[in-house]
Amino acid sequence: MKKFIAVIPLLLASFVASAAPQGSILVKTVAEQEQTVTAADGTRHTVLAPAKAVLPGHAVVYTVTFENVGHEAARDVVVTNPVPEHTNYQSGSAFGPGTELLFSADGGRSFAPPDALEVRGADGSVRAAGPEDYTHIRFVLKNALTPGAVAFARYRTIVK
Amino acid sequence: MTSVRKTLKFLALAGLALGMTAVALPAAATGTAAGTSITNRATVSYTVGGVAQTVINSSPTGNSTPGAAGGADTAFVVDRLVNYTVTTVDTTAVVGTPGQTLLVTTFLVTNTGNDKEGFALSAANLVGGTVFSGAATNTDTIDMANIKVYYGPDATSAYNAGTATLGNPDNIAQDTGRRVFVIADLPVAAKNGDGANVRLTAKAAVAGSAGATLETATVGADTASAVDVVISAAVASTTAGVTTSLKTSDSGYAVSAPTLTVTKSEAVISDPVNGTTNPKAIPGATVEYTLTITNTGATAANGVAFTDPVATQLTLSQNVYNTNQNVTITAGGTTRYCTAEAGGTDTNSDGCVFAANALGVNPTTPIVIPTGANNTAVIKYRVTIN
Repeated sequence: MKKFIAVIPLLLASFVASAAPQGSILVKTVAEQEQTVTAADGTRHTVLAPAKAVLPGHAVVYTVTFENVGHEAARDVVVTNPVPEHTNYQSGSAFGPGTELLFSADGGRSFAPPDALEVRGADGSVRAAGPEDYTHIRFVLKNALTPGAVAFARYRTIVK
Repeated sequence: MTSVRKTLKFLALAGLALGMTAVALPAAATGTAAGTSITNRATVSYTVGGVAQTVINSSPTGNSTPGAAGGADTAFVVDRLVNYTVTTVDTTAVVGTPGQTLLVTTFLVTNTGNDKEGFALSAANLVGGTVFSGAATNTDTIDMANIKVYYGPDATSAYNAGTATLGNPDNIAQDTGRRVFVIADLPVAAKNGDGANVRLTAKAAVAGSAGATLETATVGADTASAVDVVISAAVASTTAGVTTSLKTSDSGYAVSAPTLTVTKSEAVISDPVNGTTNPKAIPGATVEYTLTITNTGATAANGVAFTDPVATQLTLSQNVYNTNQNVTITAGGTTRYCTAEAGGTDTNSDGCVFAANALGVNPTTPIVIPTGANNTAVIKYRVTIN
């Protein structure tokens, strides 16, 4: 009897995984700008608002939210963002609670922490990669994303 | 994948609250063209129960449909920054002579925004003030006439009537300059040392409107899918809540002209009683008049002519100098002669005649009085006292 019961959960787990018509994660990316808002009492606050008048030199804040809308915990969650064309990643701006931060400077083929990232120059010399070399930003969620949980990651790019 | 994670260093993420601090960034002089769409789509990979799932891409409102081609771009359009400079290329006043026409002052309009622009141009006289110091001083004292504004084919070529166009430049690309020429006439009454300063005004206009539609800052929230207009503070001009652009630059003209002063002296040459020894001004005496014309101006006087009234008690002498002339003209180190006929008609057509009780001297070979060492002309003639 015990042996019979032990088998069923495994079967159920694989059945759920292969038959899921929808993914388990709802992923949303918004693009915003920091704006200074003056409150009624005259104090000023910085808020994120939908991008208004985006010009060369301006910073755009991207926020990716990912929510587990399934019934099972999601593990090894990795969020990969290309650095948009016509922008540069703003150094030091990326953060996401509970995530590890990696970058790619080779179009997404390989990822490493910023101080370990290298690029190869046209003459074959190797140098440390700078923010303007980044092609992708990657957030690796350290812990599982349980059903109903929402996590987010944020970074800024500068319009060239 | 687990083994790779162990060898990587983990960043201290607490300090990255930097992302929330406002950073003041100057707008780039050029930069991404207005209208460019900037798109972003994130990809999430994950496992459930140890099994890798199909990736899910982001969308602006939230996507949970798996697939490497799924989701949708989060996009916005780069807006138009209107910015430009207007400067004068002239380093000193443009020098002209009284009455000279089509004098050119040169300006440069440079589009430093991120979209092509047209410009509405105008030019007008300034009143008072000084634009240039130095040799060609031009404190504003007079106005130019017939002011017109032309634009050239590029940012570096000097004015050329064949390549300059009257009116508003309609399409100057981002990070491109164009020379503008203000062309005007000096009034005939201008004097040596007069100055006339002019101001060129340029307002950015929507490219393709021939300067008729001014660039106007978009009011209200940004429209992510359309190009909104932002006017740089360097050129913004707001009236009744509407912001357009305006930038000016000044240049000017200086008048270089001759300045003539005339002195007239007389000497009694002889009289019937004393002859040439201490002659007196008695009836029958001969008196010689000397006109000294001095040029203290900045340029040579060409074609000096004059009339000198002769009192009715005097009679202009004939056959006085040289062979049979009665007027000597010394200018530029040479002396020549003409005959002022008594009958009022210049029968020998040399430009000298006595008519209407005045000696008229307007020689067919013009009198030239330069500046500098030879800046004096001396004219002599004689009369007898009736």
